[in-house]
Amino acid sequence: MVFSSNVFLLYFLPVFLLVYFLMPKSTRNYVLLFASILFYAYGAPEFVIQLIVSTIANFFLVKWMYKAEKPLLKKTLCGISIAISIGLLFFFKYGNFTMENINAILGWTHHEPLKWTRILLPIGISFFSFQSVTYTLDTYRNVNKPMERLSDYMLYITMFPQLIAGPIIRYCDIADQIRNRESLYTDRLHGFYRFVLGLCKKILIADVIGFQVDQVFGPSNYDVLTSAQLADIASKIAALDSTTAWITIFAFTFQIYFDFAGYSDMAIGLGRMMGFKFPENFDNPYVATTISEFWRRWHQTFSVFIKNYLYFPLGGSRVKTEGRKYFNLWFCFLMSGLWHGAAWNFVVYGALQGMFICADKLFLKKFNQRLGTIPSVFFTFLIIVLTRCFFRIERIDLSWLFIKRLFAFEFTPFHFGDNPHLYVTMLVAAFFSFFTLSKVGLKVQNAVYFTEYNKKQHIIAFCISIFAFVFCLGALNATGFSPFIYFRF
Amino acid sequence: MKNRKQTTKYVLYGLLAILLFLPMIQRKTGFVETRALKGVFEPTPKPELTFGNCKSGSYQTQIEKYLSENFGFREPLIRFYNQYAYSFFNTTHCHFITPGKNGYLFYDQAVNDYFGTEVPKHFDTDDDFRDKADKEVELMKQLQAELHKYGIEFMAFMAPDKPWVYPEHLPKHAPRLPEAVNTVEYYDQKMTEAGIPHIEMTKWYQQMRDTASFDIFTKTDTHWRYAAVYGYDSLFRYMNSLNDFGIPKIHIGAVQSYTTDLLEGDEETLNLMFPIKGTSTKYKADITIESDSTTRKPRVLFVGDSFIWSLETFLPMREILEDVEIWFYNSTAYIGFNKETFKVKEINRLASLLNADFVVYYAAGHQWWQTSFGFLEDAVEQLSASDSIIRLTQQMNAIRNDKKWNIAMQICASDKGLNIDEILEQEALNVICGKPLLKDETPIYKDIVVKFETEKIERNWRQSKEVMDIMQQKSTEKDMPLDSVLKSEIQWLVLQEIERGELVFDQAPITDTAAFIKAKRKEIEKAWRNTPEIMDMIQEKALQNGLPFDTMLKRDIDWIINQQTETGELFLTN
Repeated sequence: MVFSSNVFLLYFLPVFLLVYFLMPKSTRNYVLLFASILFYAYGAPEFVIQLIVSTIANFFLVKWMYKAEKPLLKKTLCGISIAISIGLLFFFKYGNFTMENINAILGWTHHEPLKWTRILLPIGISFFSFQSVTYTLDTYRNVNKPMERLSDYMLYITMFPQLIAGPIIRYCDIADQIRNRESLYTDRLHGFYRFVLGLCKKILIADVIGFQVDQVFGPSNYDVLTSAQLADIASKIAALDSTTAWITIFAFTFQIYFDFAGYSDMAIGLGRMMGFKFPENFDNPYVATTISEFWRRWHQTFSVFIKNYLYFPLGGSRVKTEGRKYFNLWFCFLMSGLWHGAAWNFVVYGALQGMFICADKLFLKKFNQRLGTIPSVFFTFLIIVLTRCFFRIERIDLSWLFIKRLFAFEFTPFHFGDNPHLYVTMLVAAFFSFFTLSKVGLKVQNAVYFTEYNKKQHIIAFCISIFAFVFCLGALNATGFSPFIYFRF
Repeated sequence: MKNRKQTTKYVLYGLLAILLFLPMIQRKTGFVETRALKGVFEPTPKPELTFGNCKSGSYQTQIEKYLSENFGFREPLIRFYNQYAYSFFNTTHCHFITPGKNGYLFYDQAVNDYFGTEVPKHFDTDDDFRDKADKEVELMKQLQAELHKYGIEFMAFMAPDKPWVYPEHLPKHAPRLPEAVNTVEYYDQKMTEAGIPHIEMTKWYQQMRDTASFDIFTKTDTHWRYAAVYGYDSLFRYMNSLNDFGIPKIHIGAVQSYTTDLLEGDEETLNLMFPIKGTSTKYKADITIESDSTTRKPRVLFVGDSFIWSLETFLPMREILEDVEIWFYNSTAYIGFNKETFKVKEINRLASLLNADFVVYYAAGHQWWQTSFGFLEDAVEQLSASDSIIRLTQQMNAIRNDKKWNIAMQICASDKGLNIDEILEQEALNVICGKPLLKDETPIYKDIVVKFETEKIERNWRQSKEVMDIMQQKSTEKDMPLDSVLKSEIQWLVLQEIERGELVFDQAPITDTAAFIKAKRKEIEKAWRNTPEIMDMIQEKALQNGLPFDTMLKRDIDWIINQQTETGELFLTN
C-alpha cells in the first residue's frame, strides 16, 4: 500500500486514525503495530512472516548481547545480529544481481551457468534492515539500552509511516518516543498539513512530470521488460532530439526529488499526527553549492547512516594517508549507489558521485566558491542532472546513448503549447526547488514547516490543506480514470 | 485566550475527522446526488477474499481497483480535476481525444494523421505503407470481381476527417511533415487507377465549409454528425448509379439550428464540470425519403469504423434499406435494424456477403493505414468456396429472407434443440435435393411470432452492456424492477415491428374475447398482488381517493385492460 493511493487515503488512514485516537494511550502502540503489520501484509503478504521472524530474532539477540559481559561474546552476537539484517538484505536485494554476474562470467569462460530461481524483493527491506542495524550498533555502543518489550521493538522496525521508504530512523533518535510521546491537537493538525504537502509534491508534481519521463525512458524497473521492449526504449532514446532529451532529464531530476521528498513529508506528517518527531530527510538539496553539500541536504537520514555506520568504521578522515581518506569517501558513495538498486548503472552512479565528492575535496569546492553562489548552485545542479542519467536508465549502454543525445546538439524549436501541463509543473517544481536561495524563501519555508501556528494561521492552513487534499484525490482518480470514447453504441 | 485557541484546534480536528470519513458516508448513504461519469470503461468486479489470492497479491490489486471505482464523491472529484486540466492546460484524460483550440475536439489518430506522424508509427518506411496499400487495392479489385458474379456491387467510402476540415483549430504548432504520406490521397489515387468505385468525402467537406451556413463538424465531437446526411446522400446516389438499383431518394431540407443543454457524445466523455463554451448550438437536417413503386430498398453490408453510426442517428434507415449488417472493425457484427450482436468470425460470413446487394467498405481517412481490418482477404477467401456451397448458401439466404419461412425454421430449430443455421442448411439442402421440407403448412399465429421475436431481442439486449446500462438507468429513473423495464421496452419494440409489417404471421381467430379478457384480468391481479411496490402504490391511491383497496385495484386493472385492448397490446401475449 502506498500513501498516494485511494485505499490508504480513503479507507486505511481514516479508520486507523479513528481507532488509534479512540483507544487509551496505553494501547495505542499495539494499534499502531497491528496497523503497521496489516499495512505491510497488504503490500507484501509473502514477506510478512520473514519480517516478523527476523525482527523477533534480532530483538532477542540484541538483548542477549547487551547482557553479555564477555567482549568476545558481545562482539559475536553483534556480528550475528548484523549478519542477519545485512544477510537478508544481500540475499533478497543482490541475490539476482550476483547470480547474473556469476553466470555471465561462467558464460565467458565457457562453463555451465548455475541454476537460480529469481527471487522477489521484499518491499522496504533496504529501510528496515538499516534500522535494525542502527538498533544493534547503538545498543552495542551503549548509546541506548535495548528495548524491554518485543512489541516496542517491532513497532520501531515496522511502523508504517516510515516502513516502506524511510526516513531511516536511528534507534537513538526515537528510542524515547516509542514509550513516551504526546500527540497534541496542534501536532495532529501540523502533521496533517505536512502530510498533504507531501501528497501534493507526489501527486501534483512528481506524478505529472513522471508521466513524461516514462514516455521516454519506459518503466523505472527494467528487470520486468522483454528484449523487444528494451529495444523499443533504445530506439526511442536514439531518436530523441536534444531539446526533448534535456527536458526529460531535467524533468526526471525534479520528479525524483518531489517524489521522494513528498513521501518523506507524508511519513513525517503521519508520524507527527501520532506524536513522533521523525528526522528531516531533505533540506532543499538543489540549492547546494557543492556536491558535498548536496549530499548533506539529500536523503539526510541515509547520509547520516552511511557516515555513522560505514564511513566512521572505515576510519573516516582520520586515516594515515590522503589516498585512504579519498578511498573511504569514494567507497561509501559506491556502496550508497549500490544500495539504491542492484544493477551496474547504480554502481556507476555511486562511483560518479564518489568521484565528484573527492573532486570537491580536491579542487571543485574552491572552484565553486570562486564562481559565486548562484553560478555554483547551477553548476552543481547540472552535475546532479547529468549523473541522474545513470540513476534512471537501468542500463549503462542506454544511459550512454542518452548522454550522447543530450550532447548531439540537435535541438528542435521548443513550443510551450505542446505540453503546457508538464512545462508549468516543471516551472513550479523549479521554483520550489530553488525557492530557498532567497532569504525570503527560506523564511517562508521555516515559517510553514517549523513554527507553531496561531488561530488564524491554523484556519488558513486547514482550509488550504483540505482543498489540496481534495484536489490531490481528484488528480489521483482522474488520471487513473481514462474512459474510451469508442465502443459506445 | 489559550482556551479559545485550543477550541479552534478541537473544531478543526473534529472537522478533519468528519471530512476524512465523508467519502465513506457518501458511498453508504448517497446523501448528495452526483452526476455520473460518462464514457466506456470496464468496471472492476468485487474480488472474493481467499487465502490464495491474498497471498499472491491479486486480491489487493483487485480490491484497490474496485474501491477506487466505488468511493463516495468520486464523480465530482474527477470532474473537478478534469476541469482544471482542461481549463488551464487544454488537456484531457479521455482516451483518443485531443482538445484543439477554441473548444474544438479532435480524434488523436486523426490529428497524428494530419501531421503525418501516424503512418511512421505503424510502418518502418513509407514504402512499406505503400506496399500494403497496393496489396489492399488489389484485393479490393478481386473482391469486386467476385461479387460482380452474383450481382453484388462493392464500393469504398472514405469518411472525412475533422483536422483536414478545420486545421486552424488544431492544437499543435508543428507544421505537417512535408514528405509525409497522405494516406487518403494515396488510396484515392490507387482506387481510381484500379477502377474501384469510391467516394472521398474530405475534399468535398473542405469545399463545403466555406459555403455552408453551419459547422461541418460539431465543435465538440470528433465524429461527423448532422452534416453526415450529405455524405450518406452521396453514398446512396453513388450506389444507385452503379447498377440503377432504384434506392429511395433522400431529400435534405434546410439545416436548422436549435439550442439544447445536452452535450455532444465526445464532450460528455471528457467528464468536465461545465460545458465547453459556445457549444450549445446544435443542428438538425429536415430529411424526407422519396419512395414509390419503382424504388427498391437494398440490403447493405457495411464494414468499417465508428463513422457509420450517424447513419441510424440522422437518417430513417428502415425507409432506405431493406436490411443492414454492420461489421464494426470487422470484429463485431451488428445484424439487422435491431442490431443482433455477434463476433464476425463466428457468423456465416459467406451468407452475409451473398445476401447483400451492396458491400461497402468505409473508414475515416485516418483509419486507412490499417485497411481493412482483415476483411478483404477474408471476403475473397469466403467467395472462393465451391459452387455447391455457394448455391447452398444462396438458398439458405432465400429461406432467411422469407419471413414466414424463417420463423417456421426458428420454431423447428427450437423444437429440435438445434442451431438455426443448422436447420437452415438442412432446409436449403431439402430444397436443392427436392426432398420434403421441414416447413409444413401449419399456420403460425401472432403469439408464436411475438414470443420468438421477444426472446430474440431479450437475448440480444442482455448480451449488450450498453443496452443493459440504459435499461438499468431507466429502471432507476422509473423506480421499477429491471426485468419489468426490459419487458415493457421489448414489448413496445415488438409492437412497432408489427405495425411496420416486419413481423409476418397468420391471423388467429379469437373465439371467446370475454373469457380471454377475464383470464387476463386475473393474471394481472395475481402479478400485482405479488409485487409489494404496486400494492403500496394502489393502497396510497385508494387512501387519496377515499376508496376501498379492492375497488381501487379493480379500477386500475380495468384501466390497463382498456388501454391494452385499444392498442392491441393485450393480445400480444395471447
